[in-house]
Amino acid sequence: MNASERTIRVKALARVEGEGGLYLRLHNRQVADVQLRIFEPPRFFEAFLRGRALEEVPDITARICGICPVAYQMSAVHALERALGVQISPQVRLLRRLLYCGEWIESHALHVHLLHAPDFLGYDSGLSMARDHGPAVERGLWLKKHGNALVEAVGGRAIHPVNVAVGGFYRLPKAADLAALVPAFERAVSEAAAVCRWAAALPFPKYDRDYDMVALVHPDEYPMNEGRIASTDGTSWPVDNYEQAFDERHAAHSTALHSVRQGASKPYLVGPLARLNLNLDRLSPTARRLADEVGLAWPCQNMFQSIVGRGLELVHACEEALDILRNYVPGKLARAEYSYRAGEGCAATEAPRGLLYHRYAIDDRGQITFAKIVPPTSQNQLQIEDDLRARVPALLDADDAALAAACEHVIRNYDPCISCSTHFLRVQVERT
Amino acid sequence: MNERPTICVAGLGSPHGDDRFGWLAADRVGALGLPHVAVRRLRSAADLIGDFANFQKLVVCDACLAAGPVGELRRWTWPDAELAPLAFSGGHDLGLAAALALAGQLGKLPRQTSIWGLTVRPPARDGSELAGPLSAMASGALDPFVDALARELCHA
Repeated sequence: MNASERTIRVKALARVEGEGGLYLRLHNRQVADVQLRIFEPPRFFEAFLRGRALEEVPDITARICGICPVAYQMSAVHALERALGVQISPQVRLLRRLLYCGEWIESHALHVHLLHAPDFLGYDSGLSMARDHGPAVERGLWLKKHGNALVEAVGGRAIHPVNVAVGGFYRLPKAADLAALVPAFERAVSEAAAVCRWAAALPFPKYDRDYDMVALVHPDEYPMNEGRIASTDGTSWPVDNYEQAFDERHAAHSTALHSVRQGASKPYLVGPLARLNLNLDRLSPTARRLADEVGLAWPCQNMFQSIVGRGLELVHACEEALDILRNYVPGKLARAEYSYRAGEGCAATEAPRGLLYHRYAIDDRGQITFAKIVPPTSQNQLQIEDDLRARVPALLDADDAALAAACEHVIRNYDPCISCSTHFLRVQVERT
Repeated sequence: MNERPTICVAGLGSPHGDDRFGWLAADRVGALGLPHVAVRRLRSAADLIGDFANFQKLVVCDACLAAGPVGELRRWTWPDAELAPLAFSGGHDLGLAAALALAGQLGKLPRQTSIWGLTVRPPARDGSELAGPLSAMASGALDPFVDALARELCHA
């Protein structure tokens, strides 16, 4: 091998949801090529949804991912309701936010404590970190458990909820079942705040970049299921214009599709930091105070600090959930009625990892004739590669194992749900 | 004088089909009335990261896939590397091996932990079995399972 060439291959990325590969080739101490290699079985979902009854879509799409099934269900039902002209009740709207709170809590708690924090503290796994940081890990697991409990209470099951329906829910949760969660969520707000402060004290590299961050924005609330799509560059679009504003292109080194903004010269990213940078003042009161306390410069442009962003969203989700739980009184109707009609509808909601876009076409028998699903991790792929290209030059003196680990850390900043976009990561680095 | 339980039998399962096996096994053990044995039903492996360190022994009962021929009863003593790739309750959450490993690191496990598993058939693709009763195979395996477990518990 030529001494000026260096190739690093990581065959299996650790501490991410799913599997994938990274190929990194260095030539004369320059990054010659970076490829995030991802295989995308879930794209098959778009195909086999065709011909299915629209009522099956929430349950089928939920199975794209075991960590963020609610996100798929929410984008699906909102898109189908647009196609059918269905108006959901205010109570259904609120319960869907409550369900999403549960998913944000369990997903963020898992990622912060078992997947991402080990990188900052020098551990190769959450398991080894647990030995020395037991109370922090226990706190994270406790929060995850209660996020799951909330998803189960509203969605009928902790993993792959079964209660989400077009028009609402199959049944409304009982008041007593939600009231029983109040004491735990009163504690959860303070536990989440502790997580946020703990995350904010982690050692972060200086790594501010001029990102184009994209998320939903809403005039009245921290966005989950509704709003316009906005960029930190000041542009915004109605959700209906998503496919005109964003495009998908096939990458030769991956079966994944890469999302790009039309006419843009750089990639974009979605996720918690995008949401926070665009909606900071719509955080819950405790989360908003913490956003000032934790010492991040807003807008935050350091993706390593996304762990703090997840901490802030943990606080927000716990606080909003508590508010809804305390005030819940079941209504009479679990879901709105509808009649089949041919049409199309699209929706974008905020999965834990970022914007999740769905579009469906249905016929007059209520069957799906077309489906398009754009997961957040697909949208982040180009930005992840760009971050790697920018980060690696500072790490060239590291050996291959250390360089691979540093690359994996960059990738984990994005909390990639490779199950949604792919299977996850085998890293190859070629140094020439 | 009330004897404080020194052994906890935790049935891991869900209300769906043969995944109920762990719960029903734990219930049957509870019905034996052994004074030194406490029984719990757990919904997910993550619930094992609880307060079991107060017991001298934890016994986990669960249905599993691909541990051996369908209907075979298996016993493992934790830690056992064979457990990691096997599918116990909770395919998309913390697996049994990961949960036990974390519980161990956090000091939540007692001195001894054993896992008793019944290999079951994967549910039908249409999910019809998930709403039904325990399969004939699993029903028939309950008594031998509980008998074998009770012998271990009585000699503990």
